Amino acid sequence: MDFGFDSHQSRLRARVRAVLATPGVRRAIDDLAAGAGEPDERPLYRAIGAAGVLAPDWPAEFGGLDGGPMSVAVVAEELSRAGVPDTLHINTVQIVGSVLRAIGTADQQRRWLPRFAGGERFACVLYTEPEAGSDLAALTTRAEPVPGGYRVSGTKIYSLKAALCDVALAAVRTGDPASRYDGITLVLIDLHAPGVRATRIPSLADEHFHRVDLDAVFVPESDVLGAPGAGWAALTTALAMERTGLDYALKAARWYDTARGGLTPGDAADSLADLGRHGASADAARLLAWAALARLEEDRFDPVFAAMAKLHTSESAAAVAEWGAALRGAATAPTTGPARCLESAWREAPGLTISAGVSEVMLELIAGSLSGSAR
Amino acid sequence: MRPLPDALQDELRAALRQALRGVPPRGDVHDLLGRLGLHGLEIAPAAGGLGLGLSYGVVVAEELGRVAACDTYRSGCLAAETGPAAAAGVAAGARPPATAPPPAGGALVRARIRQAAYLVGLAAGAHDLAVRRSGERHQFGRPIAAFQATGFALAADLVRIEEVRLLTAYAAWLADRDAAGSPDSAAAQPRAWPPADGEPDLAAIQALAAAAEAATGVTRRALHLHGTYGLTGDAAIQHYYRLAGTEATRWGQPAALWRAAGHRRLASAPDTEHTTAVLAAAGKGER
Ligand SMILES: Cc1cc2nc3c(=O)[nH]c(=O)nc-3n(C[C@H](O)[C@H](O)[C@H](O)COP(=O)(O)OP(=O)(O)OC[C@H]3O[C@@H](n4cnc5c(N)ncnc54)[C@H](O)[C@@H]3O)c2cc1C
Repeated sequence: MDFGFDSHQSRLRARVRAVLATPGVRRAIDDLAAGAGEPDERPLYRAIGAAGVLAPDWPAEFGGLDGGPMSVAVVAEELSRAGVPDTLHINTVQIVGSVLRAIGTADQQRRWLPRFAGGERFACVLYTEPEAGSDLAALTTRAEPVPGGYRVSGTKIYSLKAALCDVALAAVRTGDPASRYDGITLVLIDLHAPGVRATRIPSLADEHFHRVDLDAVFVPESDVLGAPGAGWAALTTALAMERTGLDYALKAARWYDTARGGLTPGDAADSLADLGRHGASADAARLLAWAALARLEEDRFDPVFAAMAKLHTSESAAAVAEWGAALRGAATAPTTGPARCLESAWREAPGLTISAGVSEVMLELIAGSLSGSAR
Repeated sequence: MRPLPDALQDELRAALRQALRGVPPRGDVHDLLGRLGLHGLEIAPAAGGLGLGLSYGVVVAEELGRVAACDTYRSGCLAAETGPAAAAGVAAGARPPATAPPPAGGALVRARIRQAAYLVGLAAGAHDLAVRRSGERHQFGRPIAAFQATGFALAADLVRIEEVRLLTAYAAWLADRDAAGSPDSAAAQPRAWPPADGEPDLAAIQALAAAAEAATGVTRRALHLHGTYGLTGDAAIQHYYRLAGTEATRWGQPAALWRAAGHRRLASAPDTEHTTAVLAAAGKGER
């Protein structure tokens, strides 16, 4: 086992750190903090993307740095350290970009990847429906064949950032509505196309959800990803690849650091053991995320290990948030300082064990893999 | 960065698992380890050992725990740290003394990491037994493991074991790195965030505390899933439960270890840039 970053990774870290310290980027980060409501992070991502560090694991022709999955950890760690909100990056580059790299045509990749890597275009995810949450194979959004493509109708919900995005990755049904896994297709939907309507759904957390109603939205054949009807396998792979736990591990570390930094020696004496426990849990979260990424790096990706990483990292971050809030008194809704960060974390925490697959679904995946069990 | 076992670790694990197959719980494995030439695994070549680091020692300790062995590996490594003469004796296969003065300093750090690995092994071995038993035993017309309440418990324990295995491997890696001394180039590299360049002392304490709680918790649940049979003299699982109880507190009680870990966490300096970023983001009035 080797837990040290190599010189290539350290150089990348130094490079990202330098980019994040440039005046343009600093100003964009400060502007986020100054604005009211949910901020628009696109100018910030445009500034970082122009420096070419947002998609380090992609080939250079698509705006990447030819690195492996481990390089994603380096970039994500530095973005988190500098206080750059992660959702747009995760959705656009890590989720939609990865699906495009896995099953997109050369033309689709050329069209989108360099723009995603450059922070010029943004993507969101439209999987969940009002009646299809954990059981995603129950989705009913229909794609009817028409000359040159499909007309898509249905309702998607709980999408983050939809109002800021240009394009969405959606799971729709092209085949027989009676079958579950057959006939699901992944498509790209132009969010500015006629028939698309995004409505904000307020959330307990700082980031709001969106309901996206699709009314006979035209999707050209050139925006279908992979073979029509065969999207389920790609979808489950994509979902599993979201589950390295990296972003949750970084939240755990960030919140832990903030809670620890805000402790006075007096508070601290009372909570030394908790400080030790949550520190270990946050460390383990990072190690699990790294181990999941290392498996990706060696093409030994293991969906069960990813489920373990997702489960631990999200539960760990949620527990750190709960602890941090108890230390600082979340109920008082402070407006500044570490207390504000921890109060916001406390409102974000319950979503962590729900997004990208609820904890029980992770436990199902892990339990199902136990040899000797008849599950 | 490659937080996965290397080829030698994989080979060592496979060879040991093969050799330890059939060893009864609480069996004496001193001679068996001697035949495999493993007593000197961590001992310097000058004293007749292999000079492999703790990163390999934890593989040995975990496999010993997995079969609930009564080993002399951990005490031997500790005895060898008192001087070259003792080290040569241990490497040559002499039994270490049954009692020894409590270790301190680096020897204590390494003893804790080995102990954590042994406890991870106990938990993993007990978990294997519980998976097997609950897959075979039927009640209400289906395997016990098919119930979500039991399947989820086994799944959660598997995650816990993996979590502690990684904390232990990380502590061993840090201890080995410290022992080797860091190259000059390391100083010029940016410090990672979250701080990845931890101290072996803290890493050892938290690995042991987490492993102790995992071992007692996982062995108890594993015994529970065996039903009353698990309590009987025939059942291997009860040995895991017993051993976890005695081994968990060998180098400190978990509660005291967690406090010690917390103490060290407070002592380390915050990353000022990160703190500034948090404060800047938190300046926002509206939400
Ligand atoms: C912060 C956040 C961001 C999100 N972003 C997006 C997005 O961008 N795009 C998108 O499409 N969706 C998004 N989602 C939606 C998310 O994917 C779904 O909420 C999730 O899949 C769970 O579905 P559900 O909410 O309908 O819960 P349900 O499936 O109704 O589950 C509710 C509860 O039932 C229990 N349960 C469910 N299944 C099982 C089981 N098999 N065994 C035992 N118990 C079970 C669990 O306790 C679970 O929490 C986001 C959600 C959150 C919280």
